[in-house]
Amino acid sequence: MKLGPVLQSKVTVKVNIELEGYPSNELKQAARFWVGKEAGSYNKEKCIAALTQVMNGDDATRRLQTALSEKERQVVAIFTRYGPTVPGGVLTAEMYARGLVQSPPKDKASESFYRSYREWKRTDLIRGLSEKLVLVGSSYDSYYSSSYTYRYPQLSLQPALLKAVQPAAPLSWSASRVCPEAVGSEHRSSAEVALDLWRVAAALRRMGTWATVKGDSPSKATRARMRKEVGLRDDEKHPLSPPDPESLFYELLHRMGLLNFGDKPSWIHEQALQRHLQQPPATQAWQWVRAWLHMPLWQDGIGVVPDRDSDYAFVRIEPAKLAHARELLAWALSGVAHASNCWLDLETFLRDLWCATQKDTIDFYCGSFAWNPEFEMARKREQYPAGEDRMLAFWLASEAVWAANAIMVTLVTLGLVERGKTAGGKSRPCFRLTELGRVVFGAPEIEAAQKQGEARFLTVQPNLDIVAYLESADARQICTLNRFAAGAPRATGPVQTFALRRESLYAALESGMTLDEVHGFLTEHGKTELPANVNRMLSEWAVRRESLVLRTKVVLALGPAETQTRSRALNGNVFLLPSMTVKIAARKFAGWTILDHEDKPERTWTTDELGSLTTDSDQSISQMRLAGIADRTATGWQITQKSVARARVRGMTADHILGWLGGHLTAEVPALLEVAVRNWTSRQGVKLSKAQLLRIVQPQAKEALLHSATFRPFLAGHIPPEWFLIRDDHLSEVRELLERLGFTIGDSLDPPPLGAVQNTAKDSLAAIPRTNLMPKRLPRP
Amino acid sequence: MTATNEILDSLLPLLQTGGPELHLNAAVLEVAEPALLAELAADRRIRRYLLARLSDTVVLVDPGHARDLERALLDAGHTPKVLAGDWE
Repeated sequence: MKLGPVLQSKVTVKVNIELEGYPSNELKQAARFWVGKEAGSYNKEKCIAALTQVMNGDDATRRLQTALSEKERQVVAIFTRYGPTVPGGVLTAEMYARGLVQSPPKDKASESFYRSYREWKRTDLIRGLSEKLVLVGSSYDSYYSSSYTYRYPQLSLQPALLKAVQPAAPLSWSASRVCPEAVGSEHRSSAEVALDLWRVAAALRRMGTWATVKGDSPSKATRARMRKEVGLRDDEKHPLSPPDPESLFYELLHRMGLLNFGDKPSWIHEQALQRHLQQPPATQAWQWVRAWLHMPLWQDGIGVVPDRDSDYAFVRIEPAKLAHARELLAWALSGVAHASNCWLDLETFLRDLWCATQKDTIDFYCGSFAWNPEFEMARKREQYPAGEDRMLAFWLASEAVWAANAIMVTLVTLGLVERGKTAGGKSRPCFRLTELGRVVFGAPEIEAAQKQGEARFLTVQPNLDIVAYLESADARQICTLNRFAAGAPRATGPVQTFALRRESLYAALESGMTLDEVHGFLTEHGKTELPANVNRMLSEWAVRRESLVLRTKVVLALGPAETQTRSRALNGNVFLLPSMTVKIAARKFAGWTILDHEDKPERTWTTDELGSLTTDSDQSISQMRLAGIADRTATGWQITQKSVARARVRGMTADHILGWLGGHLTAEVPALLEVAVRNWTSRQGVKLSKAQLLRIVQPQAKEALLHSATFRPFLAGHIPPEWFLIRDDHLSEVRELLERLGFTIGDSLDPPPLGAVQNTAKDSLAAIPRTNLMPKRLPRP
Repeated sequence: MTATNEILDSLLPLLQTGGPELHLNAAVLEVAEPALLAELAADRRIRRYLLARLSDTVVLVDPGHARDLERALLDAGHTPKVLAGDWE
């Protein structure tokens, strides 16, 4: 696949011109351009008809080739390179960089300013092409732009003209200063990046679904879990590690359309992810950059930001301004890709970027970033007098810090930039594009070099570890390796160790890989021969998997053999048949009982509270389940402690047994039977013994007794609202005390009938202040 | 009758039917040899999801519990090959 410019508009914009909305004179002007001089005499309706016809006609391209001036053709060439839609910032930068527009007059105090300004506007190519309806934008954009005059709005080229002019040649970056060499350079291979992406996707796959916040960003809990499971940030204190790197990869997956959100069981778009990872490294990286360009909720140097922000205490860069900034940076890096591959001093590059995009530069408000390079000019910003240099110095202290984070952190993390420090006494951060970065930002002119054969990038060790050299591997290979060999958790760096494990091989085989493919991969990419013991282990594990097969959604015939066609006999009377629908089954197997295992079980069981169970069904599932939990009796079945104990031996739990009962019974499971089943399957019990009860109805007397120090040693408990438990050995003392205090003691208790007692909340244990009736333990000396 | 068969009969009896039955969307577990089935049936965590034996090497999974069985097998260190709708 040949890559297009990384800034190429994502989708073909359907340019819909509402010609009716244009004034007659403008339509006439456009019609003269598109149709010819004769259109000068047309009225509005005729202009619209003629323009509609010619714009949709086949010969629009030919006609325009002659009608456009050389400079206009150069402008259209910008659109055929990036178009049909070009963002305003990129268009402005391109126009100035290609010398197609001059800076507007500045001296507003001058007498000739308005004349100069009118002349500048009259000769503006973009304005001219817009008036001719060759370029079209939204009225909002046009208005917004004209009020500032320096920047162009986002515009689209008439679709009919996309092939009228050859795309513009790439611009080469003209650096003010290059560094002869760099020290301490760092870069990442595409395989490392793809592996990070794969690991984040694998963590999400394990989660199945995950909590998100507005904008489908990961919630705090999801981020914490991703960090725990993937752990990409190897050194929290490393200033050049990206903030929240797992979320960076999450947002990449999100923006590439590899995540599903909704009610699907898994939110990973598996097939699309596999397709993405099987693409050539440059294509993958190109898609990462395209996703990054329009990724609002993970911001360079900041990390995850909220979907909504406060207007006053903001914590993020306004998304539209961030997209503009990223586009300008990508535009500049495209120029770098087409220049000689030198190390660029970061501060100098950003100063050059400021100059190249000054008319519509990176401009936003934001507080702080993870890494601040403390540029030399920014440190001295207060020393500059008012003017361009002071503005540049302040820009280097704010927006340029974002750009520095994007280049030296985000794009390094994505394997597109190599960072380092200038050699010599006063080291300054510098960078250059990696080979991958040159291909991505230099597309379509710069293409990836063809690899000579398949790389041998791994060594399989007899202890079943695989040492992989990621620099020599590509993303496809490393992701294939990770399918059957487990990567070490929190591993980073160009050399990583993977482990061949029975579980990892099993997962790969279950996902569709074959043992031959695994074996072939290790042999093809191994620097050394596959150790014999490893080969043997792999075969053993695969054979072991084959020895245990779980077949789901099969059709089983339990009946006479002669009725079966194309079947596999499991024993004399049991056959596996090809899958079929219920309708076909009913026709082909008339007279048979048809049971669909995905249906609810038949409700044919009836039982009483004590587990005496009957059924009129003789279906095998019903019978086998009954045999599993009950004993046969003369009249049916009986669930007993013994039968439940037998079920327990089989591993069944109370919930499992009650699930069967609930599924087959024609009514609810009787509460008493449920309690019995639970009692028989666990050690739940009750305590039963004799107790001496004292009942005091009068509230005042009850309270007095509850709080009496005299009575406390004789009371064993209180049952609200009016019952007291008396210690057996103190019954006579309590009797004496009560009589002494004037109570008349009745001979018998008359408890109210069951259900008559209203244990109101105010009387409940929780509502009554706790009174510890047990003697207080004496404090230790 | 071998010792394995005796163990199997006690742990996992053969399926009994009252008449001809056709089971749709059923799940069965197949093993390479009866001894492995006896080993699985002896494990309570696995046995609870097995309904009845269809032969010495094939067992009918309790309806609705195929996923539970798969998880239980994996938890117990087995690596079952899982196939859907495929029997040939």
